[in-house]
Amino acid sequence: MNEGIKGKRIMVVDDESDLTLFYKMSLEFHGFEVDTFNDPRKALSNFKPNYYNLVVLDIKMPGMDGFELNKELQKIDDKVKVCFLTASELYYKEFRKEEFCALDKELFIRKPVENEELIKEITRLIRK
Amino acid sequence: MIFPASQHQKGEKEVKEFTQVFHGVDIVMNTILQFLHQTEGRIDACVDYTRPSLAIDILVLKEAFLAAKSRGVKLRYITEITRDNIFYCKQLMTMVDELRHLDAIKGNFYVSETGYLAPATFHEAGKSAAQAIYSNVKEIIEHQKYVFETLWSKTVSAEQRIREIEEGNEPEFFDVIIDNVKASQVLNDMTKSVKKEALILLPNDKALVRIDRLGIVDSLLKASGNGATVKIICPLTEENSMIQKKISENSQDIRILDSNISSYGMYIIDRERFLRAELKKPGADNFSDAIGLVVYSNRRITVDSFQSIFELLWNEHTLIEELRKADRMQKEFIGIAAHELKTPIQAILGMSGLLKYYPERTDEVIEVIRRNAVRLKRLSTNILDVTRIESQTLKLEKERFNIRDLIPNIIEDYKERIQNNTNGKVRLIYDNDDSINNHPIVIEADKERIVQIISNLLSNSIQFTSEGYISLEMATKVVDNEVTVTIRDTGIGINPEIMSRLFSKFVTRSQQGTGLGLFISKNIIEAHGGKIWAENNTLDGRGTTFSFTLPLADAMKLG
Repeated sequence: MNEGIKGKRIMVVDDESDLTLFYKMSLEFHGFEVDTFNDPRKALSNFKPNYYNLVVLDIKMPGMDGFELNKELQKIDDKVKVCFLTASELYYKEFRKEEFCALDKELFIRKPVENEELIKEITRLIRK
Repeated sequence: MIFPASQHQKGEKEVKEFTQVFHGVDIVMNTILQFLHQTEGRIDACVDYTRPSLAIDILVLKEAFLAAKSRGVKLRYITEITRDNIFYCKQLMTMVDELRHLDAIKGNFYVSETGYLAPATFHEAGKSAAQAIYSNVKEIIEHQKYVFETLWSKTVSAEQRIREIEEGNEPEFFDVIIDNVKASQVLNDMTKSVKKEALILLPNDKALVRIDRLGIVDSLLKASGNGATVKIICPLTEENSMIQKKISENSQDIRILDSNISSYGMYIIDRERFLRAELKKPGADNFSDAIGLVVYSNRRITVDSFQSIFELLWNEHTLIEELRKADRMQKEFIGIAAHELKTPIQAILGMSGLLKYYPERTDEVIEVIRRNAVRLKRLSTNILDVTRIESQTLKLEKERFNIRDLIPNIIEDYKERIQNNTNGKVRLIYDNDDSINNHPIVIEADKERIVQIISNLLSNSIQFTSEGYISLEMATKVVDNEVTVTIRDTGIGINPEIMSRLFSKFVTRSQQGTGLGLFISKNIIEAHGGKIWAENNTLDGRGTTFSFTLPLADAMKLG
């Protein structure tokens, strides 16, 4: 299972610190290297091109939402893959409607998600 | 100057006789003004029912009448006084020497000792004339004076006519108006005369734009400003959004409900008259181009039935509006509640799955799980409270008790929390009301709920205060027979943008809050007959003060 993901770098952005802790612990256990941010602006200023393989983004965040942040991140590195995570059905629909979903590099997961499911989906996306 | 002014001046002996036709709206208006300004002795006017409103509303014209009067010119004025122009006629009565009524006048003319002026031979009612005939030929003047005197002898006094109309002695009429310009004028006058109530049903979105262009929206705003009830049912779209905005910005009392398209417009004024206009060209820019057949009547039985139709429609649309609002709020509630619920669930579900991977970090993981379980518990209690409030099933377990007795436990609980949360940088102060030193403050209230509210307010303060103090005060007001509880902090204060909505659902200053606490507190306080409010501190420039009042159980003794 860990094949091909060793040393892959993931940035996680969620305003809830308990959740970034969970994502970090879960992903690190499976061999990813993880940096977490609770403030989307801080995440943006720490983002570097050709450094992260994937970003995990919450959507509803203060100051800047996940969609906006993604647009900025893509300007810096258009190869970075994105996994959106949200509790909101509304955002999910919006996401579908606007066909944000570039299938080979974007993924949308609805909260709450179980540990195994999260790892499975992220591993699949990173291997694409 | 077009008008031979000098020929009207007193003392001129040799006057060259002539008759002339003037063309152009502005030139005609100027001619009338000059006639009024330069004529001496007397002016007799015979004009249709549309003119009184123009004589008042067009400022230069009004001034010309007043100037003539102050020069000592004797003014006699014949017009058709109708229910709709009565308001103007009353004003005009103070500006002319004598105003009298004659039924169904058509065509307008003024005649003096020295001149005859007919602004238009015959023109569309209510519109400014595009041509005028002026003559100072003696025979013509004599002839017109004779015409005027003949008409004058057939008139009734304005006072009598006004009394008849106002006492409802006006005979019933049921007019079918085919002339669309006349219909616009009738509608215009109708809405200008609104005293108590205007009920308006508009057939489509553009109709609101059309009546605004006619000046009717302005009349309605004015009527509403004078205390009249104005209700409008109209399809509301982007097309008429500017007019909607104009109405809402200028009047809080005019109510507009959204509706479907209908095939006619309906105007009911003061439960006395109605006008129903068929919609022929829905896309037309002007009222007179849009309408087909128009019915105008004061017939009691018909007015009453239109009134009932309107009221039925109004109630129906009010219900629809309320349903829509409830639906919107429910969706919003579900959306936010879902988000608020899923976040702690995600933490609990995720972290519990990690326990097996991190045996050495069990304590840390369990702490996260516990914290989120508490958050979930608080949220579920809040959601239940909101549900009870909204379904009006919130029950208060009232008992008589001294509100001061609640304080020691609350202080005990929060001293430690404040200490821990702020590293000792914030003090908790409890201020007893000095004037009535520890006198018991007995209220009849739900004890648990009151503790809940004080706790909620203290928790909020803790969250937003990093240094300084949080104080809790109680004071009784003898005059109002109530106790005021005040919680003051030196925290970050409340963003003025959310101040007005602070006690609404889902308004929160923090990312962690559910935005339900203050909504619940407000409802509980109000259910007790009290008030709750918040202010940013101005005195020391920082922090917030929340206060609430509760009625005392027994009337306090003065002194």
